[in-house]
Formats: sequence, C-alpha cells, structure tokens
Amino acid sequence: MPHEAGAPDVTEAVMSRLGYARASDPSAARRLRVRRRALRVAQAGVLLAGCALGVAWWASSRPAPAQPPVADALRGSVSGGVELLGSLRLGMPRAKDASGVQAADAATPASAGPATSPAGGARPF
Amino acid sequence: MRSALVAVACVTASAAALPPGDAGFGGLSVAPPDAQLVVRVRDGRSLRKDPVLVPLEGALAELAWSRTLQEGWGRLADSLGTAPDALLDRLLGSDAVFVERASGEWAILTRIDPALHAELIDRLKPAAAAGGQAVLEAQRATVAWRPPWLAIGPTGRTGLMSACVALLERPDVDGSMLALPAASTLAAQSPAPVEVAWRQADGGQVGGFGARLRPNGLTIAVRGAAGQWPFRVASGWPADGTLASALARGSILATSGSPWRGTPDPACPVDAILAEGGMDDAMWANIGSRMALVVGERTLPESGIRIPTLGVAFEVRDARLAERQWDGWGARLTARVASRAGVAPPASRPRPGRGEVREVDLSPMLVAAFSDHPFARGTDLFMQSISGAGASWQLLATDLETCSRMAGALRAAGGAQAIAVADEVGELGGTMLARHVASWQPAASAFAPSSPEQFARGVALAARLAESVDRVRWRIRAGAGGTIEGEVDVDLGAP
Repeated sequence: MPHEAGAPDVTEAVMSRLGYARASDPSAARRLRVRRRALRVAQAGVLLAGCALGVAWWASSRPAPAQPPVADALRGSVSGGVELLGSLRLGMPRAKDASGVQAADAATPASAGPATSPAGGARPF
Repeated sequence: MRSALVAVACVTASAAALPPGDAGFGGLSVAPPDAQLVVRVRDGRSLRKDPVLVPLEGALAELAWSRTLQEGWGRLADSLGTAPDALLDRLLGSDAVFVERASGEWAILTRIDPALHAELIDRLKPAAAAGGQAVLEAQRATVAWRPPWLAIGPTGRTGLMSACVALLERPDVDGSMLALPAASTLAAQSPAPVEVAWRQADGGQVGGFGARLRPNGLTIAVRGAAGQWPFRVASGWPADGTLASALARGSILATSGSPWRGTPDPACPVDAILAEGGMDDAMWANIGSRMALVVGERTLPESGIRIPTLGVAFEVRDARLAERQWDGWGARLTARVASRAGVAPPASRPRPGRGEVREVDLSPMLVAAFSDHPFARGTDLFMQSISGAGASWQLLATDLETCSRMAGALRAAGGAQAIAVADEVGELGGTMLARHVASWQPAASAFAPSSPEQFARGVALAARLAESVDRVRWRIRAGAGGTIEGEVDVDLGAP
C-alpha cells in the first residue's frame, strides 16, 4: 500500500526514538558517520583499559604462596646442615705466610744426620 | 575438571615408565653422567621407625630439618589433609632417589601410590606444563608422573629432572652415571637400604657407599676409585687389628696399616708433617711395611679446651740408622717451622742416647706461626725408637703421653699375629670425639675470631652427631684396577 503524504511516518518515528538521527543531506550524513566511528573507538579504548586494569588488579591482589616452598626447603635444609658442619673448618689453624722456607732449608744444621736436605731428594708435593 | 585434565596430561607420557632398577646402586641408571651426587633410600618409612636408628634420629633431624622446612611441610600436609609424618612416609618412604648436579640443580624420583598422586592433583591443583609436567605453584615445584614414579624438581630449573625422567622412560646405561669409571664396582654390590654415590674429584670416577642396619648399629660398604686422601690405601703387610684396638684405648682414633709411598697429599695431616721435615729416598728405604696412627687429646689447663694430639709409628728396617735419620728430620722440621714463624730456631741440644725420647719444644714457634691458635699451645715434637710387635719402630708424637702410650701398645702387641684381611684397619671413639669437639664451643672466638657463632653452631652439631655413635671400626683393602673397598661398622649408642 503506498504511503499517504498526510499520514505520520512510523518508521522514522521508531528510528528517532531508538536514537537514530536522520541525515537530511550528504554532509550531515558524513558528520554522523564520523561521530559514530569516534564513539566506537572510545568504547574500544574503555574496554581495553578495563581489561588492563583487571589484569593489573588480579596480578597484584593474587594471594602470595601460602606456604614456604617445600621442595627447595627440603634440599636447602640438608645442604644447610652439611654446610654448618663444614663451618668447623673456620676454626682450624692456618699458617701465616710461608715465605723463607727455602732459607730454613739452607739453614739445616750440618749435624742433622745422614738424610739429605729436603731440597735434594725430598718428595715434593 | 582442570585437575582431571592435568592428571590425564601427566599420565599420557607414562606408558613406557620403568623403575631405576632394583639392583645395587640402580639409582645411577636414572642420573645423567654430569650428576654430582645420587642418594637412594629404600623403604625409608621402615628405616625411620627402626629402633636401631633412634640414637641418630635427633642428630639427623638437627642436621637436615629447618624451621622453613618444618613450616612448609606442615602446611603441605594440611593442604593434603594428612599428618606431616604420614606425608613423609607416603611421599618419600617407599623408594626415593635424590640426584644433584654441582650447580645445585636437583631432582627427586620417588615411588608413590597412585592414590597419593591423585590427591596431589586434586588438592594442590597444579597447572599443566609441557612434556607431561605439572607446576605446583605454592611449592615452587614441578612434578612429572611416570607411574609409579613421581619426579620432583624446582620450578624454573627442571633440566636435571627432565634428564632423569628421560632416563626413566628410555633406560640408557651409556647415557647415565652407570657408564662412568668405577661405577660397575658399585653396581656389583647387593642392594642396600641407603646408597650414596658421588663423582670423585679426580678422573670423573664414581665412589659410594651402601648402608645396612644391623643390631645396635650400621654396616657401611664403601667402594670407589682410589684417589686422594682419605680415598687411598697403601697395600703391603696385612693390617693388625689387635694393634689398632690396643692403640684405640684412650684415643679418639687409631689405625694400623702400611705407609703411603705414593704422591704425598697436602690435605693429609701425616703427609704434610712428613714433608715439613723433608723425607728423602734413604729414609723411605729404611721404612718397613707397617705403620700405625693415633689421634689422642690433651686438655689446656687454663681453659679446659681439649686439643688433639697426633702420634705416628713407622716400622723401620735399621733402628740405629732410623734414629739418626729421624733426628735429622726433626732438626729440619724445627728450622722450617721457625722460619714460618719468623723466629730463631731453638739452640740445638746434645743428642740423647739410643732409645731415649727426643723432645723438640715447638710450641712457641707454632703459636707464632698459627696466630696463637689453641691447637698450637703446648704442641711439641717427641720422637723415640723402640722395639715391639716383632720389629723396630720409630715413633713421632706431638705430646709425651701419646708417645708413651704408643710405645706401650707396640711393646705389648703380639707381632702382627692377629692380622685382618685388610690393608688398613681403624677405630674411632664417638663419645670421646663428642666430648673433645664440644669443649671447643665455649672458646669459639679463640678458634674462629671472625665468625665464632657459626663455628660454635657447627661444633654443636658435630658433637651431637658424634655422641650418638659409640664406636666406628673400619677395614679398607686395595681392590683391583685402582679401586678401594672398605667396610665400616658403626656402633650406635643407646637411645
């Protein structure tokens, strides 16, 4: 049935109530398209920012491990005990600088007996 | 649902899973050749409850149990709804292999009940990872389930664990520690409840021991490549067990064996002392095939600190020549120590008569050379030539009491009649060692001025370990192909 000129345009009224604007000329239509595109970009930005904030919040508010790491502690305890035993070495005597040893060899008393001096036939380390 | 997926992912790779072998030192078969240490404990839950080990329990707990581990283990047990002890038995109490690299990277392979694995997945909710592995985030551990073996490694350092799992899935003797020199000696042993193997420093060979329980103690079988002291033994005249026992009375440690004629090792106290005086070929030629060693103690009167004493006895072929040779050695040693201390050597004394005790007052020089270390106080040199045990002997000791005690034991010995089938036998008194070491604790700053607390803690732990042992006796033989074999009997104290 053809639309009568005097009757109200129902489609236009519904579209208008839904928020659609009717561009009456090409330039207005272009402006509308640009505005919609900008709106979508802004919406996408808000969405992405929300995601980023969510991830950041999750990462920071995630509960820390509720217990000490048992596996490393198991190994660390044993090696710690062995190291503690090894600390006995800290208290063992250490000789001062051994310089002058050769001079001492040279000063070996002549009455020392038949053995040769260490510099001669001694077994070196 | 996620747990089920993880479980499925873990089990998928399990089709060809094989145990690391039930033979002796089978743990080596799941360790890559670059591993440094392998420890296997079979039926740990029975070992833990065995009354024989009760005396060692406290000391071992002190050695290996930390507050962090206690807290972590307790919370893990809570997470699984079980008691800490029960978790220990279920997780590590059946058959567990610990492998470690020199870098500190480690892995554990433990045989567990599939029900426990299901509980681990269900309660701890691990995240699935590549290669059939799963990550336990709270425990910072990565696990791989190859029924019935659960592999555990530290998250982020799972290279060793993956290598062990690969050997578990595809056994490869040539690609494992079993291919290393001397490993076959270990592998030929019968299985022991506790087996420990390690890479020896020299030559990439493997040494190890297996420990078994016996009434009131342990028997430990040691095998390995002969290397540097103390992993060496001189083969010669069979060792005299009776002499070692006689020398052990009143001593911390006593051994009987043959003198070491190979390359001296500076880490060996006897080698170091002999080298300090200079040993020439004539002296070595005059040394016989037997020697004995004693570690005793004396007490510093001013502080009550117990100081170790050392005594060495060499069998000699020509006693008169030996006395002159060792007089010369003593003179050279004195001159060298004086040089080290930066002081003048003491004036030479008239040579004592044959068989008399020679005394060299080394203490002032040692105190200067070793920065007034307690061990240097009152440490002198005593030498004597004696006859005993069917031969002539040259004695060296750092105090007169040790020298006299050795002379008495050798004179009373029966001439190597009670020989052992070993190249070296020895005995150590745990109670005496514990008392000896514990005396250092109050004077820790005199021993380790820069870190007295750490030294004192180490001393306390060593004393605690020693006091749980009554006596240790060992027999060592030189084996074929440059190996050594030994048995160590550890008598444990009453609980």
